[in-house]
Amino acid sequence: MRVDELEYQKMIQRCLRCSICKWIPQVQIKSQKYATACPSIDIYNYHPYSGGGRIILALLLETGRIEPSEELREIVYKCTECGSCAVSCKFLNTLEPLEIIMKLREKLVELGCGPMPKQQEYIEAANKVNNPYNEPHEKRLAWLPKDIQLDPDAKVLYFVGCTSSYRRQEMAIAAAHILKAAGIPFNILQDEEFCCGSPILRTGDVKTFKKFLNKNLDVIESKGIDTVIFSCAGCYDTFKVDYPLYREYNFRVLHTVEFFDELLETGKLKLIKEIPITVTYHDPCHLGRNAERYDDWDGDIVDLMPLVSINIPPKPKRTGSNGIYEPPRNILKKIPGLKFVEMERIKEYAYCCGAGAGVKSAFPEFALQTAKIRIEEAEDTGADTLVSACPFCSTNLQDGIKESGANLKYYDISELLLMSLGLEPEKLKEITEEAG
Amino acid sequence: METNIIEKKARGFAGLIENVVDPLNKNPKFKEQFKNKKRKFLINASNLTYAALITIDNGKVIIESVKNKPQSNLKKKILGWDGYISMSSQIFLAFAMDKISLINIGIKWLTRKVKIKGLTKMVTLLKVFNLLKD
Amino acid sequence: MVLEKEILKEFQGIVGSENVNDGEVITNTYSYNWCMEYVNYMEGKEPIPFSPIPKAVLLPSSTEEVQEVVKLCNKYRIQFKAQSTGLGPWNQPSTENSIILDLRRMDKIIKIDNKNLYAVVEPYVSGAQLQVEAMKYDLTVHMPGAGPQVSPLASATSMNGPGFTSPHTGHSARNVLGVEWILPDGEVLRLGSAGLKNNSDWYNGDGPGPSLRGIMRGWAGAKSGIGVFTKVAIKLFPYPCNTEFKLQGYSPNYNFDIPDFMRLYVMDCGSYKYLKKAMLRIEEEEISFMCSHLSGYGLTAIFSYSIESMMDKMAIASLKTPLVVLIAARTKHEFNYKQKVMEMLLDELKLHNIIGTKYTPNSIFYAEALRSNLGLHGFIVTGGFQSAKGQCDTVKTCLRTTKKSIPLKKKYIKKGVIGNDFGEGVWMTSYESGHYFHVESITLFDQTDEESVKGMGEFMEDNYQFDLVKHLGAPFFVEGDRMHNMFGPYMMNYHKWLRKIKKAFDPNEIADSGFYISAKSEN
Repeated sequence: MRVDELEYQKMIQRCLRCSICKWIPQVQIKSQKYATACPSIDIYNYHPYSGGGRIILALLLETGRIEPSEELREIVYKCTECGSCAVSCKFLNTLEPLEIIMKLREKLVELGCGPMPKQQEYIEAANKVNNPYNEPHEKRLAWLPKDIQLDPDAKVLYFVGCTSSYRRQEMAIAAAHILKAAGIPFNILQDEEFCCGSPILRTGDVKTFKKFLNKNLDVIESKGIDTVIFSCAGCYDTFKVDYPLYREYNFRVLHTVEFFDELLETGKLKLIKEIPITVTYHDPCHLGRNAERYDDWDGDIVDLMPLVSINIPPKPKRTGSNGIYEPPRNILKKIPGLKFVEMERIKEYAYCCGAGAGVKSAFPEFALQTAKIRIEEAEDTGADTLVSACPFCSTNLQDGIKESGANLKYYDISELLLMSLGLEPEKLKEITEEAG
Repeated sequence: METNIIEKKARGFAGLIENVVDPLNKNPKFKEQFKNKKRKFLINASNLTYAALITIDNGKVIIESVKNKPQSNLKKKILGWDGYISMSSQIFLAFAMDKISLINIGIKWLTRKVKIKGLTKMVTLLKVFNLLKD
Repeated sequence: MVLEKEILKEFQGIVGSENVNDGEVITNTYSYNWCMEYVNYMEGKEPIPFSPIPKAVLLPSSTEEVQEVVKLCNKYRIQFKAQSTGLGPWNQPSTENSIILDLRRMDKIIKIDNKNLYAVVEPYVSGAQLQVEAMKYDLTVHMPGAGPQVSPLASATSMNGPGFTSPHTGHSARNVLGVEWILPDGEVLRLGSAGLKNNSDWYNGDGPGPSLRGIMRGWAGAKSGIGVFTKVAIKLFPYPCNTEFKLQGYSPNYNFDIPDFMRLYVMDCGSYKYLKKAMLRIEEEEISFMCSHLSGYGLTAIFSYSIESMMDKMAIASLKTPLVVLIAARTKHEFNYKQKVMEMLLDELKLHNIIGTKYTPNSIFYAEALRSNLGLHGFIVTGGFQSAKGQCDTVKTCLRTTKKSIPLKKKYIKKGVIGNDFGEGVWMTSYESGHYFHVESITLFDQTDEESVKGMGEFMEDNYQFDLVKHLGAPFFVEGDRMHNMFGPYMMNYHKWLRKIKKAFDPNEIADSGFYISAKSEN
């Protein structure tokens, strides 16, 4: 379960100000250059911009030492909620920096001091047209290629998501073609698909988020679906991790990397074309460390001695260890001709792309600067191609490549998979242009 | 023997005891020494909610929990124990970590900070705990 | 207190407007720190984790900017407090008429001289960062017990400096070579060979060139009370084993490929008397990478990642006087030699290694030992701890300190205000082949419990009196006027000299002396 109010009040008094949250896990540091974990403090430098700094902000607000203000709001929202601070802190500690930041945003929203104006705009757009891009709801399906047959009785549902529907259509097209190539009957929600609510939840507007949660679950549950697959890490994380906190459901959720990895393992997909590139993979936060379910805990707190309490059994701790790290790597390693190299900061301690939690809208320069840091790290591996598995990371990283003039190509993993199945990327781009 | 007072899941302090003694189930010395023995002991943490009912049965140790209030829950005729000890969790930890001696426990018994019943049978429990330090 | 607009403008002119902030949110955030609760209580203030709020926080990026800022502080009589990663109450201003110099933007490794075994760093290079760069040359660095995430510069110039790897990497105070020091009046002073007029370099802190290491930091450092340190050269040491550092799995349950030539020994010496004999004997042989005494309780903590996981380690918790020795080698030959020496010592001292029999740690322990991350395990029990004691002395005095202090600690444990470690919770480690040792009494408290905070404050206060009355040597935190006035008369009136130094270097009292000494007389 999420941190409740009582735990929140206790935790915000416990920051040791040790600065561990600013670094990747100490034992994983491999170079001076790539030792840091938090884009926010990396760029803004003042301590309040770190995970620990925001815990102190929460305490300052609760104790009345500061009042809600624009200055406070800006610092609290200049954070992609990537969770890197939490991974590092929780190596030894029992604090929950990310949970505290999320709850702090909820409190700011309740106090009328959040979200940021640009975030409010996209929330209003989502309320109006079911997507934060303010694009017509009717155009949500425009990406769908004519040669893709949907099966209304299929047990597999592909939840496309707003970003793939309106901005990164090549990902949706690639996913659909891969499913077709594997002979998997699938359906999509068409005009019954609504924003998953992730960009709304991450701003602290839980009330509006719940509306979208219920809308989506009502529709999906009415269709008797067994499995919902996502090509967007944000939608995936929201359905898998956040939705069950508010409402249970009975279908399986998978990211396309998990699904496609299974298809490759079982021989339903055969990779025939060599892709002679050197690739490095960026772990999306919402597919990696944050995509870990909350486990219920039905134990007891034992007050062993004065000041010493223990949990029997131990409370489950979300440390990013159950994120989806191997399936995308398995896929990449199976692509013939492809050489795979890792960045220094990967898996549960991967550096954020910079776009999440409303940052791309509210602080585009921050998002871009962060992307450029990540791109430099990708370039330092010697790779010629950067790959990820999230349309939001895709947008921001590609913006960063363009801005920095880096000599890097970018693909979503589904695009590479499609190429290796024998479909040329140029054709994909043609299809994208037609659909757009 | 009323078994509905006994909870199969080792809760609270009983869960702690389970963590502590569980390595015995893989200890060949324990299996050998207690292969033909059947004993039951109750360790009650007087300041906490649950007591630990330790059953040694042919080379295996199993822990169950019993709520220690009302006190009548802990009676021998209810639980069927061979030996019983009640003390605060602090004293228990200190004893488990060898920070207080048996003599000290004896003194605390005399001053009623520790309650023991079935003293001779409790010697067996002591042997069991000593195996944990091997 | 608000910074006047004209002064703010002048600061902005030096560091850039985005690198000065006098807003309520940022300045208040910088007023928070670990242990401020009991420090406040000891000073008769409300036991809250907040110090006086600085007027502004500045982020300078160069020595020149620091100089200009300090000169401006002198002009307007505003005190400054410099900090690197900022862990601990020593980073806090003692007055609202202050600014904080957050040295985060000064994060360069200036050079690594692998031939002469030193590195020159700026304030915000962390121990781990320096270590991994030094490892490229098969070298390592000393990191204090506070962890690899803190600044070696801060430890070397301004704080204490014991570390888990001290038998191999020494003590921060002993590892300082050339220094670049911004004096409280804003002038630059370079110490040692860095101060030479011609062909200056960083290799030596004591000359040719001015040697002021004792004045600069003495035993415990001035905690920003005597200026700002913008560069330091610190000694590097041979990395003790193969530098391959491979981990599998996910945080925190990593599996570490333990280097071939590394071995851990944990022995129960049975008594403090025998511990003394064993530590001296082992250190005399000069083979250890780590040689520390911890209580049984402390031992379970360094092998655990949560308080729950301490509970299944009763076998080692019950050790009476444990001694932890880690040996490491770069070649098989060296390893065989060190192992043979250890076997000889175990035989001679009639000690038994429990590792591999009674207990086998997870492999991550070895990674943390190499990365000096073990000190942070002290927080897993109650969420807060600080160390009383801190004496650096002979092994006899350190153990006398430990033994004599047990009843005092038990008194507070009985009150329920500090965590129950049976009075024995200490960490003691060896330096320079047993030439000296340090001991600190790890004391667990709960910073969210007012009674515990007050109890901790009273315990620390009692300890200071106890150390004086029982002649147990000088503990870590003899800092600030009150403490120096208390200890000075028993220690050859050093505090009078310290005041003279402060007066000579900082006549305007611009460098915050809250954790150092002020120039005003003790009367």
